[in-house]
Amino acid sequence: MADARTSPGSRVVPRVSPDAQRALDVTLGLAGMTVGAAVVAVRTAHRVTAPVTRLLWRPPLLPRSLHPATILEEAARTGRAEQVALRRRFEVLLDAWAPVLVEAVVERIDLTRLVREHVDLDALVASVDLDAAVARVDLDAIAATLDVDAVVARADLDAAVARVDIEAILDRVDLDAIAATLDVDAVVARADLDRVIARIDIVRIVEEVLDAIDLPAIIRDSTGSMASETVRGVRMTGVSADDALSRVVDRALFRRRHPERPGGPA
Amino acid sequence: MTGEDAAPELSSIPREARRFQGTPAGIVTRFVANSIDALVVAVMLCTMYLGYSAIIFMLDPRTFEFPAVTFLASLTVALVVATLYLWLAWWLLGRSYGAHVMGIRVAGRRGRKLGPLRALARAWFCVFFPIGLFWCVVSPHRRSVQDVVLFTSVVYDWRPRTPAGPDPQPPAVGESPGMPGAAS
Repeated sequence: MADARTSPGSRVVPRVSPDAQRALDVTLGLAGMTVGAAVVAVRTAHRVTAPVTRLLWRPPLLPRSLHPATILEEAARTGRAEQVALRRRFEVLLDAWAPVLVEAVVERIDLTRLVREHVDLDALVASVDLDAAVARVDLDAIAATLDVDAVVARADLDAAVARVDIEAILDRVDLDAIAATLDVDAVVARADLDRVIARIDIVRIVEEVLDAIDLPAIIRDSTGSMASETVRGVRMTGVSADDALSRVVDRALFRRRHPERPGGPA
Repeated sequence: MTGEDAAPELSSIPREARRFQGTPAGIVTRFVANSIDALVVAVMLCTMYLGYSAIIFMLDPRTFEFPAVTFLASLTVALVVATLYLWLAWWLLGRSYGAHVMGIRVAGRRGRKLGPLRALARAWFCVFFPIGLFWCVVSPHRRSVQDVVLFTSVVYDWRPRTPAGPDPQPPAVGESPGMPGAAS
């Protein structure tokens, strides 16, 4: 009379044949008519038997506590109290078992796939007032909890720096202006020059300088017997006299000065 | 900081004298140098005479008398001694004592010292024709007759030692065949 087909979403949908559907409609129609007739009958019987019923609920000759209505009201109050007590016990049981049951259920369900397939996350996120959420977040407190050292230690700074065009940055930097703002005197005053000098191999530097300038040869030349001020003066006098005499001769011979001479044009 | 760096050369020559190092020396300086050399030769002759006298004295003190010297013999000895003195000085040292005092030296081709033959020829020429020195007064390159003939020159050089190689200072003067040189 009925079969079932599997939908693409693997959901089972019952399929009812037309005959069965018609039989079901007839049944429901008859049931409705029966119920309507029953209601009419009950209303009529109630209207007819109402005085009798009132007499039975509240017999005039019996004390009030023995009236059936009073007894039923008392039973109703007792039942209501029992209901409250039962609800409390049920809630206690629910509190105890619900986490266990939910945990057992969740373990057997792929919630991520379930949410992805059945929840419209875009619509959900669109309905969230992210600005208000961010405004309520204490970013300072979050930042205070960050271990910046650990973050930096995990970062590959070499790779990051390798991608930076340092030359372009330096081209934009006005090093002259920066250097002009430096208080060199203060920098030097803070420097421990003694330590710097202590790290310098002065002996090696002096040896290299002496090798480069051939100091012994200079000392030999300077301390030679002909290096005195007197000899130097005699030589310079001779040079000046040579030059003066050459000028006189050149002038007498109408000759231009020779460039090779000390006083000659360059 | 190595010795190979092309650092400016340090020199013991006074700063005011560096600009004319290697340039031709003039007549005054050369004349003074030659005068000192003449004085040196005179001292050498006196020493030789005294030595000769001392030898004679030691051989026969009782009849000793200072040996008589004739002008010709003295002149001959003086010329020979002067020639030998200048020859050895120019060949071995590049300068005589007088040139050493005045800060000049005799240079050959490319500023080098003279060879033995040229040094001997120049010494003989200077001793027997000393007036040739004065040609450097009118020579545009300050060259004496000896310089012109022997392709030598006399240049200012205050360094005590004569360089073994070419003169690093201004180009050696008068070394081309067409540029006669200074001296005596």
